[in-house]
Amino acid sequence: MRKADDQPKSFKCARMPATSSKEDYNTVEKGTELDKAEEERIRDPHENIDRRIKDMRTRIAQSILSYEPELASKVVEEALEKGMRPMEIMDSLTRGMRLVGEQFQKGEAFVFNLAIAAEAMNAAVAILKPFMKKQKAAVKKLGTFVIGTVEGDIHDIGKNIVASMLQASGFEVFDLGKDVPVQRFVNAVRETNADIVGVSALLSTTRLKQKELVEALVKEGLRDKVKIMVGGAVVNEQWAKEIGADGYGRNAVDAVDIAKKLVSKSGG
Amino acid sequence: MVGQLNRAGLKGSLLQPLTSDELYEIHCSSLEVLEKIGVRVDEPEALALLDKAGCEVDMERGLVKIPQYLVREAIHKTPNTVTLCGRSKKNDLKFGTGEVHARISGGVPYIVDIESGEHREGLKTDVSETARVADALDNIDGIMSPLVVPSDVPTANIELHAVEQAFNSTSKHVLTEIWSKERIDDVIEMARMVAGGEKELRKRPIISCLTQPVSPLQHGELQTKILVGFAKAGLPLNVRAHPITGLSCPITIAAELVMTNAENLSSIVIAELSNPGTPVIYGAASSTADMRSGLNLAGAVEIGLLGTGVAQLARFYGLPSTINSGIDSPIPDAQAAIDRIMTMLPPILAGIDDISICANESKSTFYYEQLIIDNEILSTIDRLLKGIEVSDDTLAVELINEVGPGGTFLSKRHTLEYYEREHLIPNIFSRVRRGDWEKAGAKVLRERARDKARRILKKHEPLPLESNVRRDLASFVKQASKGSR
Repeated sequence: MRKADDQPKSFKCARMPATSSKEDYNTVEKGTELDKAEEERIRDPHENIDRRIKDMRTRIAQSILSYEPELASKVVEEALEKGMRPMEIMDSLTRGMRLVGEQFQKGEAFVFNLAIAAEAMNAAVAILKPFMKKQKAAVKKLGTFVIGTVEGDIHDIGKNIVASMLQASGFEVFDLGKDVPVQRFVNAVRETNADIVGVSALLSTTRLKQKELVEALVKEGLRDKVKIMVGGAVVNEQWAKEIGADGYGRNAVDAVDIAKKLVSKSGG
Repeated sequence: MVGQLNRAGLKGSLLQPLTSDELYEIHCSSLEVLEKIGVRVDEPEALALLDKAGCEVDMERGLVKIPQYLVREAIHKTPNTVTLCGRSKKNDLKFGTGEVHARISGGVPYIVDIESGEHREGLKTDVSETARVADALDNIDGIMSPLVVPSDVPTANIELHAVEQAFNSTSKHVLTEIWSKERIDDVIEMARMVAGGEKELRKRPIISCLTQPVSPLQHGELQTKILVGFAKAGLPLNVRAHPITGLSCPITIAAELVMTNAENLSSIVIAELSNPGTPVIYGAASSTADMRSGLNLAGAVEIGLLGTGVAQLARFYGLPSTINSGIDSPIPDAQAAIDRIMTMLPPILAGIDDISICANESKSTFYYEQLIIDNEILSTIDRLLKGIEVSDDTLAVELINEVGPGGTFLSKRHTLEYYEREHLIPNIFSRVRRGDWEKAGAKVLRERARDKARRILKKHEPLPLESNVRRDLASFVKQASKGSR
């Protein structure tokens, strides 16, 4: 059982790193000690911002990195009550999520950290959305992503993590579920104007459906309107190339990175 | 000839990590899962059977809550011993009276070509060649079909070719895997042709089938159809749960045992409702995930530990058992040997009846070399299981007296008589000094294994099918293939 004063270990709860990047906020956590030289190196691009709000930003991002499923929603509610702007809250959440991905790449966080963080992110964003609509804040979405597991296959845990991470990273995700026939994928791509369609297959016999989907999209004249990503335990780079897919995600973070690259390439 | 491994030599005790109280708790937890949480069944015939038998069924969502008494009834109907037959009687396998079997798992997508060393997708020729090598190895008791997935066969026809090649390439028992419902009847029909009829196949089941729910707690349509189909045909079932810790079951091993057990018990309920008395082997492919990547592992020590739990659980129910032994190393190296031992030995010492030997790279790549090495490892386990014989002769106090202090036993008749009985002479393990090893070509184990595989491929002839059976099988495959999408 975790105690309140447990010293957090790296994968259980992360510290926000100090950074001097221009686009980042001053993320030094309140109370953390820095030497004078370090302090001078950190430039605060938003000097006029209320210290209170700065700490709040840190706390919001930190709530994602804490890997406590309910915390992010609570902090977001508190931030809204305190009058913080939804866009700023969103930016802080996104920053936290991005750091989670970086931790994973460095081997400091595990796959379950990703899953917990993505769920926390999505729950917090759900709270935020109505407030963003109220203020008519433009929610910049990275792209539209249709995802599902192929027909004949009911394995979906990996696919679900990817969907969750994509959504948490700013994609609008249409999850068709599992055992999805090729035609349903095609219809969804057409109806949602998808930028990317992602297909998961876990059995060596069902991965052939991924090839069928590529062929079906060509046949329906949709191939040059959508990018195709494939994934799953029996899939690899070689297979992706062989069937003419645009990308293969080795894991959830990799998949999100590739998806981001694919939408930026198409200028979408 | 199949291996003769038998636990009888472990006369003292088996490895029993779980106490009987703990076993009982796992059993009760599984019953609670089945009764309060239930399973999802996607197949209408099985749903109807479960409904009629007294389960609480939500027909619309396919959710089935199974009461405890049905589980008990099902277990009581299962036979305690199961016999799987080979085309050749000397390859028959008895389960449940101490014999320990090792069979090769299948469905491997890639293979390393034994001549070129190329890592490539499996082909139809690999299906028969790998089966033929398995047929030659003394400690391998059976195969799955297909061992390697033939990428040059249309997906819809894989089972047909797999079963045809299996029966042509080995006279050992064939465990089959089926990927589409149309093939259930086809595969059974092919087995009947080889056995000589429906009754003959029931009497001497030269084929059995694998069925596997999707964790957590989902009996998919196809797998359930296979379960019901094979049960009705009176053929043995290898029910096999495959939860993965942290992904499709909780991260703790005890919970994985609960999930494995709940899923297997529900499979057995369906089987015994379909046909009371269906022989069942309690199996687990249950594994763990490496959370740095999410990859499904095959050679982790936790899997071996879980295997000991499965062995104990199956004995608790009086059922024959089987687990997967796997290798995560992509090549047949030292790690591969460790993965193999840690996932194979503990369960055997705990009482597992059968090991399903899985390929390198977490079941993705087949190596002939690995198979030869595994066969050798099984020889050492065979010796281990024979235990220590304690008798007047083996205590040999009289002989010690005869030789006395300072003498030697080398020239004694006793030494000659007991040597091969007491000491394993390995086939490919090295036991020479460095100089001799260098003179012989300085070959590492893997290379010596490959040489042996090459020799087998060159020389070994399996028991051929009768020519009319071979013809009938081939024309059946041709005909059934035409009809597929």
